[in-house]
Amino acid sequence: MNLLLLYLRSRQVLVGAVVATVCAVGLSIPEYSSPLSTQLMALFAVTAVAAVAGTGLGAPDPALDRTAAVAWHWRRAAHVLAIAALATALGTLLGPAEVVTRNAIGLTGLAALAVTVLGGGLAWTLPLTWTAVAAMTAVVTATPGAPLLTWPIQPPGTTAATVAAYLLGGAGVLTYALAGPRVATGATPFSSVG
Amino acid sequence: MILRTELRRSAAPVVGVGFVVVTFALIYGLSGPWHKGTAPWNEQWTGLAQWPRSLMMFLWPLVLGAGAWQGLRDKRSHVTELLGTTPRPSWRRALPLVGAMLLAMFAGYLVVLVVGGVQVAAHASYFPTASFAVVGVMVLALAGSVLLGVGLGRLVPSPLTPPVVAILALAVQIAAQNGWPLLLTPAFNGLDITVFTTVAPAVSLSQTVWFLGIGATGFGLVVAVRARHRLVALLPVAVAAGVTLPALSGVDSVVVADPGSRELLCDKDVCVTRAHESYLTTVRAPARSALTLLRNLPDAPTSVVEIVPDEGYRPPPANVVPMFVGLDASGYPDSFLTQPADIERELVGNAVVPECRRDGSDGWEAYVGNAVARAVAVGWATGAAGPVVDDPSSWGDEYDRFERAWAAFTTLPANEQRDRVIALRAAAHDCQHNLLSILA
Repeated sequence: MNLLLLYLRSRQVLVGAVVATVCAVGLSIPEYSSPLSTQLMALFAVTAVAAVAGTGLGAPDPALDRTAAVAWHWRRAAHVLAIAALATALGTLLGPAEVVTRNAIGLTGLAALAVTVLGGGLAWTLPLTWTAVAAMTAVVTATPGAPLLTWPIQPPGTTAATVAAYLLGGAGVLTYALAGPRVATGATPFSSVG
Repeated sequence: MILRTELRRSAAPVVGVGFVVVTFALIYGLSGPWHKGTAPWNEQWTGLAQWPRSLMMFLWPLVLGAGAWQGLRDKRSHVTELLGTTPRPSWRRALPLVGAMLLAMFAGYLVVLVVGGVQVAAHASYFPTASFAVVGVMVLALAGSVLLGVGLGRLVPSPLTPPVVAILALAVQIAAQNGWPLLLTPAFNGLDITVFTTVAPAVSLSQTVWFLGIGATGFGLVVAVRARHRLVALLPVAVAAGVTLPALSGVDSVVVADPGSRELLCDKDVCVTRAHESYLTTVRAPARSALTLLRNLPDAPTSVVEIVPDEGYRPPPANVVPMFVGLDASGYPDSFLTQPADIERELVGNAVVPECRRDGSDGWEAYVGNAVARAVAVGWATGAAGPVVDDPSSWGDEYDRFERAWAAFTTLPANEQRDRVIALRAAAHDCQHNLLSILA
């Protein structure tokens, strides 16, 4: 079996992609009563894909992987970018393309950062927390400020939001590509169980 | 011993600390509705009980996800068989696991209550007993979220479970935004939070049963060893649903009027409601100076009374000046006035052109016309040099209408001006629609 198939099997990419697709499609089926609900559901769909597929970024045995004479950097970067592409594609079922692309890149970057810092099993923490706080902001005020923090719910064309999202995405891709998933030491509270 | 280890080394401390941090980040970072209205979270006990429920809206899915993470730990570490060899039943082994998470959640919620409570105690003394029920439901909802999360993690021990469970919970929260399904979630509609209403006891009781059912099912899923046990674990939530869904779907109003908060406390001619007891010292002097200004009107007002504008509100008799604290005449949240000059101007306006409960169907023209009439009348009553409005710049170009109306009014002889204002006052008491035509 060649390296690509082994990689896909070890990261459980198929399972992750299928579950992510089911979640996103499931969210897109019902009709929503208000534009705010539709906007938030589009955000949740992108978060679902980033978090679920991002769990696959954590390898079963990162320490073993590092000993391989394989150029991991571009493979890891390609994996993250593939997740971002999947999130964008599924997100466009619910929301406008510009917003969905921005959110997909930002949230996938957050998932990659979470995998690098916390481990594969906890990839969902950063994207979901950021989404939950942003959603609360959207519900509370019609014109949320602080676009650098509330970028997931800013309207399309908000430069600061786009910059923040792309910065997070870039930081996530770079960090994960260079450092890889967190190596489970087993002695700390968040040893990877992915 | 095990509990101490769990508290230090599991997801429990992160959940507890995270809950506190995110809650305070939302409270202090956003200028949300919990700072405004009649029951801000740190100024009234009612607000302190109800606003954290509203803030939970998108936090309880995260708690669910964290619980799922905690629940899948044993299976993913391949130690279930090993732990099963200990001479303890499944539920005894589960207790430190869920106990640590529950303790951390309750500790986090207690921190929020204490920080808010210290501020409320300095500000308000009115404490409705229904707040205990609201806080109790919050505690049960937090416990239910944790237990259900851990149970789902045990049921499907895949690393994909926490994100899927959290996203599904977020979606459920959005889908249940309108109507009675919101009562099945821990969240609370912020529009319902006022100091003059409390949560209906029937609603709190039904929610208690519902969240107890969820918690029992969650715990049942945690301790279940065989598939049969898992099926039995679904029983509590099914029973709870059977009992609470009919009860909650028949609820037409989640909140009921709170008579205790509406009792009037009077200092001779100035009355405030019990909920705003501490406001009396602020409002006493400006109210008396407003009454002095108005004493030359026929049927002059003799008292200032705080009024709660419910459905069907109409202005009181001419000898009472209505005062609205924290809301406007249509019942919407408004800011508290604290400056004596602002309070006096507001009260003079309420006496000369009392506002009626409008539903906005009159349109923008009528709204501006009424505001112009009121500004001119208050200017006349206070002997000001021009029309009196709160914030001229907020009207933009429309402010010209105020100045033109004032210019036209001041060309009239003095007793004609007085007659027009008296007619305006009578028309406003009858809630007539086109007040500006009476003045012009």
